[in-house]
Amino acid sequence: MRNSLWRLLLGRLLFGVPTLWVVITVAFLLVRLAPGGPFDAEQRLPPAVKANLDRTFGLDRPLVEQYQRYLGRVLHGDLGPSLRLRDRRVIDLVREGLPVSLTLGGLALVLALLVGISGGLLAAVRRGRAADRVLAGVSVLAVALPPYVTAPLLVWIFAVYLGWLPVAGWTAGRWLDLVLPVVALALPTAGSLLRIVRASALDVLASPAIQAARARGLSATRILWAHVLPPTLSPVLASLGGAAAGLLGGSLVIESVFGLPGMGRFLVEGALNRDYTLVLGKVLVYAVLVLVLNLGADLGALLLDPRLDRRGAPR
Amino acid sequence: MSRLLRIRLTLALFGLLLVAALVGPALSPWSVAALDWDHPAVAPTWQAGHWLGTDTLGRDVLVRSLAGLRVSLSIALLASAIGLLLGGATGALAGSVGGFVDGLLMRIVDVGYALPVVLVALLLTVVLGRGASTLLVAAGTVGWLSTARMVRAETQRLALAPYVLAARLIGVAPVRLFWRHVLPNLIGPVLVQATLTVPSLVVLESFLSFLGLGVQEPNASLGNLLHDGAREMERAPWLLLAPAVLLVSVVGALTVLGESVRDEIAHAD
Repeated sequence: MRNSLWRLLLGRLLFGVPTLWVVITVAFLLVRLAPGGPFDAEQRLPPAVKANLDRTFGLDRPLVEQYQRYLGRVLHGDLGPSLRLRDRRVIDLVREGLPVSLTLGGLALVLALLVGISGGLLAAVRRGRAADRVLAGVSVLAVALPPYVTAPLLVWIFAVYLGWLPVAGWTAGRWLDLVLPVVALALPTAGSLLRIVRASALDVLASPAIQAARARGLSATRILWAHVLPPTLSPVLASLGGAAAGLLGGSLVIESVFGLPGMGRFLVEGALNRDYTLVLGKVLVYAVLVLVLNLGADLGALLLDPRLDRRGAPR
Repeated sequence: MSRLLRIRLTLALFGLLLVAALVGPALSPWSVAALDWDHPAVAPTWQAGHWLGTDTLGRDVLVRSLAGLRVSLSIALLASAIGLLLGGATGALAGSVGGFVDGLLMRIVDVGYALPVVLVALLLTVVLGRGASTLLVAAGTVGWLSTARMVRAETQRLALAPYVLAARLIGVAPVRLFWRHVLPNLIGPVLVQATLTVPSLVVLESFLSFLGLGVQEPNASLGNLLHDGAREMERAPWLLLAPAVLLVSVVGALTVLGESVRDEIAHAD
């Protein structure tokens, strides 16, 4: 166990570093090869001013030199200055936005897991009955409805019509602000997790191990928690990395709908007005997050299913 | 509901939506961008001929929604075709050649998974500007990854199947072995994959259009219709409702269809 855990950690680290390098390089080349620049405003700047700006940000250097410089800076934890937001450093913007996005995404993930796992188990145990049918319908709806449709609907019902929750906005420490964004973000993930758990639990329930447990006279509750739940969770963990990446993407939209000051802030505008450093920096942070989340999911899978140990680290 | 019945029903629903999207806009007296200045932002009504109402500029919601569905579906279908071809070729190559090529191709796929799709689209927007072509490339990139993994695994599994081993034993050349014996058996799983990729791409398209990175006005897509609808929701809820219902039906139908077909195949063995 110990052994393969370290092997997995080491392997992921050895893979993670080159992955990030490729992401930085490809992203750097992509944004730089594009026509136009950050200072092409609608009003043309006088050539002297533009040259000055380019010099300040090092944009007048050869591309290779800019790339080397950028890479060197990133290794020192510096993502450079934003080109369009005056006097803001990208790392500071990340530092402001990340806690908000992580709180939002983390809570949504927990909620989706809770709802998805318990709902999926319930549907599997009650297969073919009313509860199963209702859950099947609701989960298709949840998967098919993107968060930006559910978000305004939820706002309309709970904030405008009933007046229970705030419409939008974010004040640190006001947990009520988070309820609607978290629910809207979690719904699609919860729906797809529910379907995965249901299918997986049905397979487990049909297995000889469960039959044996029943034959030994174990109580239904004990069978469910000790014998059905753990093997059911394997495919859930396998899908968790993708689900987390989906939540990160979804949080972009949710943040814009609810006006939350998260990582997604300035990002879309940054891409449209060629704020190279801002886009590169935030993309890099997102990539790190996805890698870390995937590692977590793999570790969880290993802890849950010792058989993976003998077959070697999961890919 | 039995699985076969579910497959038939969802297939019928999808067919209906497809036909409506293709011919619907042509049957209406209104066009996608036509402004009806006498009836701006009217609720669904029979009198004025706007069955699902109009938006704030007086454009017919029914026509715009159906046209939007057509645009969204075209992008999703085209992008998943690109993704399936590219991913299928990569996966088949990695799975049948193995060794160094396999390792290299799969590492590329792993790297691709490190970025959320929305960000790939964002990066592409910087290069290509916003619009349908950017969407197409971004969406194709996504379908590519999962298809490559799936086809690789399937190819490896088939390579060990008794009949393939037998064919190898009687001296069938590798290339012929692939075309005659492996490829035909890959088509089924790839088609199932496609029915599951298309709905996720419809959602992705609407996602990006919602962020303002996709299809631009006055063209309609489900994404930008939903965006407009969400903004006017309190005054004109029908603007949100029509495209939302279409989105949910098409995504729901395809998801259930894909899952049911997959289960049907899995349990047929």
